[in-house]
Formats: sequence, C-alpha cells, structure tokens
Amino acid sequence: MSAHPSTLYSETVLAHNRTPRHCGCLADATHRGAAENALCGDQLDFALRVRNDRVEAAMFDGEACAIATASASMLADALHGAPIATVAAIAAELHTMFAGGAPARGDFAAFAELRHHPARQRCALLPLHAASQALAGAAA
Amino acid sequence: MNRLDDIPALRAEFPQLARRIHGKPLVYFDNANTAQKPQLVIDAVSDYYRLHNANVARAVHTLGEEATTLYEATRDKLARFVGARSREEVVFTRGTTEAVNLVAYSFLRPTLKPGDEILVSRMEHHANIVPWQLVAAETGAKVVPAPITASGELDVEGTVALMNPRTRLVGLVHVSNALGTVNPVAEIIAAAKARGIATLIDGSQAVPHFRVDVAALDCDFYVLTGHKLFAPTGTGALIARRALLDAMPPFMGGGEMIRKVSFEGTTFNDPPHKFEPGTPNIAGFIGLGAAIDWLQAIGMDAIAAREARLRDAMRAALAAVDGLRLVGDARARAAVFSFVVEGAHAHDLATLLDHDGIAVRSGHHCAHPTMQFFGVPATARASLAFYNTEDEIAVFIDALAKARRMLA
Repeated sequence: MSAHPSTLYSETVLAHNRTPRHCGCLADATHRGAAENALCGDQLDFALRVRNDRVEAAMFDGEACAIATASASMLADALHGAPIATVAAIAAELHTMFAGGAPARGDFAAFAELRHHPARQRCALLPLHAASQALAGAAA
Repeated sequence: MNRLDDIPALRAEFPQLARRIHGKPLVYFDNANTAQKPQLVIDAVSDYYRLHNANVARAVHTLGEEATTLYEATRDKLARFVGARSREEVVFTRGTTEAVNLVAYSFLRPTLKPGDEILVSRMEHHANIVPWQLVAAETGAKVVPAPITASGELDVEGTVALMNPRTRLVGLVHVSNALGTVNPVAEIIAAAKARGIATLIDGSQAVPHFRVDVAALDCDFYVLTGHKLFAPTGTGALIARRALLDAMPPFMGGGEMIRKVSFEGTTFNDPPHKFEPGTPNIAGFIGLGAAIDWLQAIGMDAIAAREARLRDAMRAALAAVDGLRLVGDARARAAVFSFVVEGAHAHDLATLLDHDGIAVRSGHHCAHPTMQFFGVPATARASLAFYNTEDEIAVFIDALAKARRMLA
C-alpha cells in the first residue's frame, strides 16, 4: 500500500521531467554508456567528459519515463564538477533510501516514495547504470 | 436467467473485484495478463486440499480415486470446451509456454535440418518466438517473421507468400496480447495445410473470450493457458493431433509417463500421459475444470457478445482522448487495447492509474518485435473481461485525463 502518487510524482520530479537539464548530445565526451530497462524497453545514454577523475560535463539522451528522466536530469546536475566516485555514491544512497534508510542527497530525496514501488525503483536507477557503464567502459 | 443479465451479482462471484486499491474500487483492466478467479474456482482448489488430497493415477485408495477422477474430469471438460477430437489429444502443461516448448523440442527438433524455416508472425508473444529460436540455433534452421500491417493486422498475402518447401511450421497467435488483433487463423491453417506445413495456434488470449473449435480449425497444435481462463496459474494445455502425439518422443522423463522401466530400456505410456511426467498441479487443474463448467453455464457466445459491446464502448472512448494513439487498431479485435499517450510514458500512466484503483499493464507485453515494428519501447494496455462494465470505462477515461494533466 503506498501513499498518494503526488508524493511519488512530486513537483521536484515533475519539474525535472518537464524540463530535464543536460539533455542532449555531449560532443567532446570522453566516456559514453547506455542502460536499458528490460521491463519497458526504456533506454538512456550517458555521456561524460572526465579529467583527472573528475566529471567536467555530463549529458544524457534517450526516451524514458518521468522517473528515469527526472533521475537522469538530477544525476547530470549532480555530476558537474564532481569526482567520478559520485555515481557509485548516489547509487548506494538510493539503494539505502529504498530499503527504508536515510534520504539520498539533494533532489534525489524526492524518490523516497519509491520504497513502496519496487517495480519502479529500477526506473530511478537506470541513469545510474548508464553513467557507471560509461565510467566502466574504455574512454570514448 | 443468464448470469450476464445481472452483472453486479456476477461480479460478486469474484472476491477480488470487491477490493479497494488506494481507497478506490478496483477497476481490473489487466485481464490479458491474468484473469481474476471466481469463488467457485477458489472453492474447487480448496476443496481438493481439504477433502480429496492424494496423488493422481497411482493410488488405489479412495482418496487417490477421488483425486484422479476430479483431475481427469478436467481433461474431458477441456476437450469439449475447445472442440478437441478426443480427450487423448489434450496434454496438460504448466501453461502455454511449456506447451510451445513441448512442440518445439518433441515435434520439431528431431527432424529439423539446416535451412529449415519456422514462420511466426511479428505480433507473437515471446513464448511463440524464443522456443523456435532455441531449436533453430541448435539445428541451423531459422525463424522467419511473417509481416503485419500498420494497423496491426496480419498481412495474410505476405504471410502465405513466405510459406515455401523449407517451411516446417507456422506459428500464429489467435488473439494478440499486445495489439488485441483477432487473426484469421483458419485461413492461415488452410494455406499451411495445403503446403504440408505444420501449424501451431497460440490460443491463450482467445479461449477466454469466444468459442474455439480446434477440430474445425484443423490445426496440428493448439496451445492455451488456464490462468487467463479464470483458473489457477500453472495450468495449461497442448491440444494436438493424436497421430502426431503418437509419433513424438517424450519431452521430459519421469514417473507417470512410462509403461515399463528397466535399465535395458523403457517403454512409454500412451499420449497424453507420455508427455506428463511427475506429479502435476492437481488442484490447479481441478480449478480449471470448475472454471470451464462455470464459463459454459454462462455460454461463450453470450460472453463474446458482451465483450464486443465493451470493446466498442472502449474503442469509442479511447478515440476521444486527446493525444492518445492506439497501437494496433485491427478491424477484427478483442477488448484489448494497447496505446501510447503524448507526453506521458506508459509506466507513469500505469502508476498514476493504479493510484486511482485502475490496474493496467505497461511495458512491452513480452512482445519486443511487435513494439519494434510500431517504433515504441512500451505501451499501456487495458484489457477487459466480461465482468468489466461501462462505468469502469468511464472511471478509466477520467483517470487517464487526470494522469495526463499531471505529467504534462
């Protein structure tokens, strides 16, 4: 049993979905990765420009649901100027929050309600997978 | 009086339809995924465990006889229900998927050669694609997609044109779970038969909605599942020509499927038991028998007529929704509607509709090639059964508009 959807589709999430930040093509990316949600076929690409283990620029592309799109927008925002370890850190924070633990950083806290929607958690995690695929792969 | 003349009373036979979801009355529009079960089916399952529990076809004691009689009665009921030529042509399986695999491994694989072709439509469920791919990969055969049109109908001419001397089997869904299309299976079966090609029809979405006559269709294999037929999960059947079943080797080995076992060699039981090793889902099949009795008391023609009215009402209501596009809009269709809404992802719609008590499926519906054909990763799908109502359609349309406003 979950609360009313307005707590899942909060203004924070809806605003990121309506006007996602850093959506498009990053021409001078050093790393590119993709992830797919087998449940719905959503696919997200993440492109990063990394120097000295720090993300200088991050952009995502793809068509996905509001949860995945908002999460991608938040992630790209959070990664600008951040160390590459931030991707794994945010993923860990989301897993902790979904298990009932502390809220994740910043706007990601808006996904707290997903603890009641196990089938949708992977939507929020999709951009994290794409970004970690980018970092795991060879430089683009 | 027919039960369909009193829908509130009919709905009251389904305990789950009285549930409230997030404080709202449940509107269950996910019947193509699985159907709800009437109390009578639940009672049949529970009565078996409370009163008759014993293994089937082994024990001579009273309980064993009772369990076997109840279980085997379902075979007769199912044979009559789908117009099988005899009860021996009804092989019980866990569902459609196992039935297709049985045909792929037992019928086709032993004689499949490199270059052989298996023709299946682009609107098949993965269950009618992947088993063929597995046996094709082992033998050097290939799976050939049969074309469909932009409205989600089978391209009959194009499909027949692909039948050739290398084609070993044609697999076709009777009613598409992803599009709602009712396929002209008789026409395809006749064309295949004229060319000596075996046919398998996936009737999972057909048998719950209209009368099916397997003998009249004259296909070699007809497969179906129980859980979409208001019966328990883990029940299904392969209906096959007796001569083919006689010639086919067993699919799985074990008890019950043998006549005599020795380390020098084993002789197998006759069909259908040859294909039914191990202790089956006894309670589930007894439940399936109860579901069939119940459906036949209502009458499949009456059910089909009611569903046609619901389908037309739903089609008209969806056509009036701004920004909604039906994915598949065949002339002959079931009350199954796949759609996309501009600016609203299927998963978001399904979650928001759920919060208004409405259950729809979102995703690819186990039909990736179909989704690829229509260029969409996912759709939302509303699938109705005869216990649904026009009032529920109105609730659904209002909730859809609300969800769309929220996401816009």
